[in-house]
Amino acid sequence: MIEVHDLHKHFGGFRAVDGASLSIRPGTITGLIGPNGAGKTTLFNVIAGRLPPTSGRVTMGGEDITGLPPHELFHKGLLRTFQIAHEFSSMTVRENLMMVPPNQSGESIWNAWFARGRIRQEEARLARKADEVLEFLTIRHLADEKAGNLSGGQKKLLELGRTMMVDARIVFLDEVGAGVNRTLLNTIGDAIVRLNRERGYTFCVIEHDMDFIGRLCDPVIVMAEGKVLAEGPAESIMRNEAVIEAYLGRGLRNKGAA
Amino acid sequence: MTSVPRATSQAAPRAGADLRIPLLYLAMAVLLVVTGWIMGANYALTIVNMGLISAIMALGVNLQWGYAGLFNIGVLGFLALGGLATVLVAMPPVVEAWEAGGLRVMAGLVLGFVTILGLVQIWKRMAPGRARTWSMIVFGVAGLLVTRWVFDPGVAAVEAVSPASTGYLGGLGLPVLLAWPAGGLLAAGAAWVIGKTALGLRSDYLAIATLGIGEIILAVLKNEDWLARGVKNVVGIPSPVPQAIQLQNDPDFVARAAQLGYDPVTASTLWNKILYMGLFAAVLLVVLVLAQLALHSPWGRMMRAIRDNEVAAEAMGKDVTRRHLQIFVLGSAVIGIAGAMMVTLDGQLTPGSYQPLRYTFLIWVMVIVGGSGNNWGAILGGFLIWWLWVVVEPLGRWIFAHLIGVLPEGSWLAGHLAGAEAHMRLLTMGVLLLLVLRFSPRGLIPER
Ligand SMILES: Nc1ncnc2c1ncn2[C@@H]1O[C@H](COP(=O)(O)OP(=O)(O)O)[C@@H](O)[C@H]1O
Ligand SMILES: [Mg+2]
Repeated sequence: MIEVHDLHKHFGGFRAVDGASLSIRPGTITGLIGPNGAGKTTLFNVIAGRLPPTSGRVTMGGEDITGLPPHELFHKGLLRTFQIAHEFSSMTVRENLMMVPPNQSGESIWNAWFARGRIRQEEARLARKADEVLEFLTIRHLADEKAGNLSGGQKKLLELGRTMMVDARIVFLDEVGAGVNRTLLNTIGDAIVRLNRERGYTFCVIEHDMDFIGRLCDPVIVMAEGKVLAEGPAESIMRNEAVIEAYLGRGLRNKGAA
Repeated sequence: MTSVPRATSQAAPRAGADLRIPLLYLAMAVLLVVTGWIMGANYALTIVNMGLISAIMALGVNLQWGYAGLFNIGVLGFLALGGLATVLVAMPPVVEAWEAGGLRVMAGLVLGFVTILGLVQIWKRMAPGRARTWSMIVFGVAGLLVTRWVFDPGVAAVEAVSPASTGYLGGLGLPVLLAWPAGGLLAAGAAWVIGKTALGLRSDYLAIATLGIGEIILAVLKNEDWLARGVKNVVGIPSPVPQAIQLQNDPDFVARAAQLGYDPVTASTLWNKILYMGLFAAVLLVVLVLAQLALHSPWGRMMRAIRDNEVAAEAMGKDVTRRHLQIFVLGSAVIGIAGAMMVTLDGQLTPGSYQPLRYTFLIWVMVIVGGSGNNWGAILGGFLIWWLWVVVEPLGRWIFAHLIGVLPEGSWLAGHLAGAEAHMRLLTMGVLLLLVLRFSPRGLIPER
C-alpha cells in the first residue's frame, strides 16, 4: 500500500529522517516504534505531505505521492492524526466530525445561499453519521461539547473519529495513547481492530505502550536515529538485541523493552 | 453524569447573551436619538449614514479576520478602489481628453500589461540561470521603454485638457448605483492578485502585502491625474437620490413639507439623508443576510475549522489556500462596495483624505470593539465607533471649555488642556481599545 524509498528529511544539518525505507502492507495494523527523537513523527509528516522530503520517494498503491499536499492525499484516502491533538477547538464535537466528508454541496458558498433545502438534507445525514461514530467510540454524550473542552484522551478519540467519517484506505495514528488512561486506550485499541476488520482500514500506529503494540500490531517497524532498525512480528522485535539497545542504551525508560 | 450540571450552567450565560445583543443595539439607538435631540436630526442622520457604511466596512474586515484569521492592514486601499470605481462608472467621459490621448493611454496600459505577462512567461519557461536573468532584464527594460514612449505623451495630452476642471479621461457616464457592485469587483480583483501571491505563504506576508498594496493604490490615485485627477479631486459625482437643492425647486415637495410643518430647506436636507439611509440600510441588510447564510452553512463550518486549525483542516481534505483566497476576495469586495458608497455619499473623490488612521485603524477598532467573529458585533462596532469618532471632538471641546473656565486664568493646566483638544479622537480610541481588550477581550458581542 505505502512504500517509502530511501527517504531523507534534514533540518539544516540535522538528519531527522536519514534514509528510511519501509513498506506498509494493505490490511495490516503496522506498528512504528522507536525512542523519542527517532524521527517517527517527521516520517509521518513527510508521508502525509506536511513536510517536503529532502530526498527519497513515497508511493501509495504504486502511485508516486511524494510531496503532494495533505488535502490531496486525503482525497486519495490517506488520513492521519497528530501527536498533539489538532481538534477544531471552537466547534462542537459533532461539528468536528461533520466537517470531514469531502465535496459537501454546502461547502460551495453559492449553494449556501441558494440551495438551502439540499444542504439541510445532507446535514441531517451527516449528523446521523457523526452520532454513529460517536456511539462507536463511546463518547456520544459529548456530541454538543466544545472540542476545546475535551480531555487529552477524548481529543485523541475525536481525531480517530474524524478518520471514520469517510472511507479511508490508510490511517496514520501518531501516539494514540499519549495522555490516555488505560480504559480509554483499550477503547481506542478495540476501535482500531474493528475498523481494520470491518471496514478494511490499513493502519500505521506510532505508540510507546508495548502492551498495546504487542496486542494490535503486526508487523512492527523500529526506527532509531532516522533509520529503520528492524522489522518483524511484535514478539521477535521485543527480543531483538539491537532494539533493546536503542531504547535502553540511551538511558530511556521504557516498560515494554525492559 | 457530570455533563448535567455543566449543561445547566451553560444555559444561563447563553440566555444572557440572547438579551445582550438587543440591549446593546437599543443602547446604540438611544445614543443616536439623544444625539439627534441635542445636536439636531440632521447631525444624527449624518452619523447614521456614515455609521451604515462603517458597518459594511466592518463586516468586510470581520469576514477576513473574524472568520478566517486573515490580517488585512490595507483596508484603505480597497476602500479607495471602491471610490475610484464610482468615478470610473458615474462621471461623464471627457470626450476632448479621449480624443487628445485616450488611445495612447490605453495602448500604454496594454503594453505595460503585456510586459508583465512576458516577464512571467520568461520566468516560468526558461531554466534558472544567467540566461534567464539577462533575458528578463533586457525584455523588462525594453518593455518599459516602449510602454513609456507610448504612454507618457498620451498622459501629457490628456492632462493638458482644461486641467482646472477635467484633465482626466472621465468615466463611463453610467448610473451611479452601478458603481457600488463595480467597486466591489475592482476591490475583489485587487484582492485576488494580492491573495494569489501572498496567501499560502506565512500569514504575516499577507499583512505586509496588503499594507504595501494599499499604499501603492493610494499613490497611484494621488499621482495619476489622467485617471481620477489625483489630488485635484473629482467633485460633482452624480447622486442616486434627489439632492436638497433639487427638492427645494420641486413645488410638490415644498407643498408637502409645508403640510407637515417643515420649511423647505430643513425638509429637503432631511429627506435627502433619509433616502440615502434607505439605500445604505438595504445594502447592509443584503450583505448581512448573505454573510449570515454563508457562515451558518457547511461553508462557514469549514471556514471556522480552517481558522481554528489550518494544519488539521488541510489534513481533513480542505484546500486551505484556495479557501483563504475565496474569503479574502469576498471580504475585500464588501470593503470595496462600502468605499464606493462612501464616495457616492460625499459626491467627491479626494485621494488626499485617505489616512491609514481613519480608514484602516478605525475599521479595525470597530471590529475588535464590536466583537470579531460576530457580524452583529461588527455592525454595532461600526455604529458605535463612528458615533464616538464624530461626537468626541465637540464633546471634548465642551468639557474642556468648562474645565478651563473653572481653572485660574493663565494656569499651566488650562493652556495644556486647550492644546490637548486636537488629540481627543485618537486618545479616546486608544483608551477605548485598551479598556475593551482588558475587560471584554472578545468584544462587546463575542463570537459565541
Ligand atoms: N521542524 C523541525 N525543525 C528542526 N528539528 C526538528 C523539527 N521537527 C523535528 N525535529 C527534530 O527531529 C528529530 C525527530 O523528531 P520526531 O520526528 O518528532 O521524533 P519522534 O516522533 O520519533 O519522537 C528530533 O530530534 C526533533 O528535535
Ligand atoms: Mg513523535
